[in-house]
Amino acid sequence: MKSLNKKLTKRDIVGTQYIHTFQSLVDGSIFVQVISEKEYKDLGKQGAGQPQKEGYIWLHSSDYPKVNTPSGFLGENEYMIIEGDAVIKIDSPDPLETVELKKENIVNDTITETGVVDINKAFKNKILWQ
Amino acid sequence: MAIARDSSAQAQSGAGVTSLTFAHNNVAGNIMWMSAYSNSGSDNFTSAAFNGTNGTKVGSSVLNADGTYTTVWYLASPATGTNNVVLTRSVAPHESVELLFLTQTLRLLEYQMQTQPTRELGQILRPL
Repeated sequence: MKSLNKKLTKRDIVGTQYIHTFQSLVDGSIFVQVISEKEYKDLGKQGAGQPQKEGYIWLHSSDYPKVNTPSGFLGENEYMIIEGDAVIKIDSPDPLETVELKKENIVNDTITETGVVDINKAFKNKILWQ
Repeated sequence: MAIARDSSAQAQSGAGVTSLTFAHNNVAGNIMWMSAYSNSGSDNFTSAAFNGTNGTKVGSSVLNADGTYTTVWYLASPATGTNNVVLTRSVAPHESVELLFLTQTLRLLEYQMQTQPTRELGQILRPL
């Protein structure tokens, strides 16, 4: 079940980080590993291999916004602003799963009723509101 | 003429990602089409490369009424085997929908595909 609070905490983007994303061969869960910029850029070179992790399959690697939290990632019910939209981390088995809303739909760090309608539409009413 | 697709791969990134890397196994194709999709409503894809070689941009176009944007590249004589694809963008997108779809066709189709508008190419190459 995926869940979300209407009351959120805003986080600022403080830089860029680089990640591998793996999926468990056992239960399908997602595992995110932070890597260096050099490790990431080396993946694009001729003959570069694919990242390996025992029991997992590599899905992809990418850059990713780094925010002002201890982990550098958004926690549940936290959001960041990108290009005029609020990118909100929901409670989900995927550690990077977010939902996007026009930033006008967050007032005083609280999702407006219009925003709730938009999120319910995006998730086909399967969000558990807390 | 039917399109012969030897192999394909796709990946999706989250919001804020400007560079995405994933694996693709080119089994035998001698031309590769790479297509990126975004609902950002603008052309901000800057490159698509396979095994360290950049593809040649064919063009970009709005694909659907909802603003889905597609950009298409091709790469002749791509390396065979499993190698990495790197897609880059000029700005961090706010949207989480972003796909890259790859396919190989016979070289015979190269001219035919290049003469078609990008919109049609995007519809041909869009994820199934």
